[in-house]
Amino acid sequence: MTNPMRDWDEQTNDRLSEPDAAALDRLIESGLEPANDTDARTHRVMSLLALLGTPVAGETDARTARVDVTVLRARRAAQAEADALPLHPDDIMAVDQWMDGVQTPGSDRVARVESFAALATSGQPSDPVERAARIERVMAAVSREEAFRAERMTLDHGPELTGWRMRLADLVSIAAMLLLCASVALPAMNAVGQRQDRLACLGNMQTSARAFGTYAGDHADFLPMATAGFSGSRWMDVGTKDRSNSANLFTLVRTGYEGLDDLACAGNPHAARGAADPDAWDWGSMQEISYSYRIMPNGGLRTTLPVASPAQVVVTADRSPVTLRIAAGLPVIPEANSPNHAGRGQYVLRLDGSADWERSPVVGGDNIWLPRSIETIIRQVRERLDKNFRGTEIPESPTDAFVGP
Amino acid sequence: MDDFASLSDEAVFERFLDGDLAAYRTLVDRYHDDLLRFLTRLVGDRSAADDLFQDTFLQIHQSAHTFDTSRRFRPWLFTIAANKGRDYLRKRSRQRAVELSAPIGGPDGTTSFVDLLEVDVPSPDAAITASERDALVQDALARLQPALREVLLLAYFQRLSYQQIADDLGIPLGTVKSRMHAAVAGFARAWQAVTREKPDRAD
Repeated sequence: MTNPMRDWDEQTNDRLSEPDAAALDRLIESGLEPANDTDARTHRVMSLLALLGTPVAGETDARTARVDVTVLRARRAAQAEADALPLHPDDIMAVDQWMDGVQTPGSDRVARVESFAALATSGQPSDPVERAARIERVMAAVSREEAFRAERMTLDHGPELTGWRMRLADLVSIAAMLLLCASVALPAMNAVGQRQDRLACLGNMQTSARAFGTYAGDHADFLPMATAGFSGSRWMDVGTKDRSNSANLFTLVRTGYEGLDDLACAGNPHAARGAADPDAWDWGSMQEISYSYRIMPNGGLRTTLPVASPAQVVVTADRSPVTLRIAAGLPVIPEANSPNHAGRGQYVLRLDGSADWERSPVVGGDNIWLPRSIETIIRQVRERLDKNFRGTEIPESPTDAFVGP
Repeated sequence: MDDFASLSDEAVFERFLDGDLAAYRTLVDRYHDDLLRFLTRLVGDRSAADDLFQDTFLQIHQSAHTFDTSRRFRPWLFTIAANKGRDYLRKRSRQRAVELSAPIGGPDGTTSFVDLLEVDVPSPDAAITASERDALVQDALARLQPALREVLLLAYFQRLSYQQIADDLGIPLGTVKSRMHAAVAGFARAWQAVTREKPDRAD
């Protein structure tokens, strides 16, 4: 960050007189709130400084519109859009037009982004005059953001994007990616001490969402894979190429789509950070891993999975307490929350790019730590327990520990 | 929005961190006037200030998780705004390098002392219209070197003590003081100049 004090090159020759300097010092130290009985000089200094707060001409014009537009922009950057992935045909056409611009030699990036911005800012409210002004402002703002994002994409993947003809599926992935960061809702959180860690984790989820989107766009819509897809074979041997599911997630790091830091949760004291070993295919141990990744089936998984609601497909979550306990040889607690956030809950990133804070691992009746077959067994055991426990049982012997209410 | 009227900026920001977008809107509304004035004075261009105003609050939204809620919101907001304004000026200076690189200082290069009791500053109820005062202030600030202008505006709008400024910028306390003195002196001199050049505009 540039330091205005350091940048100052001593070109000015004006100096305050000593009494003025002393008065200024007193004012600054008082937070520019002079005491009632200040002297004439202090008043003069304050009057001079107060000139800086002179209203600028027309500042009240469109005040409401300015506030509205600012809030709207922020909301667009954070609002969850559950149906972000399936684009309306008209929208696809608009993106097609945008992409056609990519293919036209000599066309400038701003024009292309503006086409997309027109898509992104469609559907604004009511009053025609306000609406036009608002759309103009938002378009300009979105254009700058998308230009910056597009520039970053070019920097990261320049050689691959140059002259690259995208297919429609890629377009959908990229368009979804551009909307991904707009689809992460701020959660409701209570514990102040945990809040910053959680927000940092949410930031990681946003970064991961973008990385997944970019990776899928570059790999025929497939989610990251190393060499291993699983169909009954072991997937918990961290550090192996063919028996480790985390190696699949590590693909994002290995291929440069995401950094290790972006996959390190502040709540995991053993999380691997910094530059990754260029030869590494996986994290060094299960303790270093902060986020759990969907078990990849044989043949991998596409983002264009034919499911009714991509929002129901979990891609990543805070690390699973179940696999940690199994790896440590400890009994499993099926409904335990991730240890990343002191057991209070976990973030879950879904295929539509949305990330939500879940207070329980059971989301929509499905425990994200367990396959359905194990969930069924647990349910059956519980049903049997409920059925057999009548409140009439007694300890079998003095050494049978058994307490009641 | 009235729900937040009695809350400090930091308390409102806490509510925003809890996911309450109305709290964010309250902060945008609360700082509308001050931030727009700061940015307009800093960059000297009203429409650019309008854009930077939005960019600043967007940055606030996106960087919310980085804010230490034990600190004050106002200085953080203006620091972000100053960064945005500085970036804008830097880009503009590449296009208008000659104009902005013109040296600021006394005509003969010698040091001159400013006594503020000798500088005419109109009282709030002086016979000068708001738009006239606005134009004169902008003229005066435009004559200040950009770095001095930024120091002066930040000190006024952030309301930080010298020590806090020194801590934030990581420079000695004495340096902060001397440069703030110079910034105020420069502004006083510039104000004197613009009002003398247009005696009919500032009484």
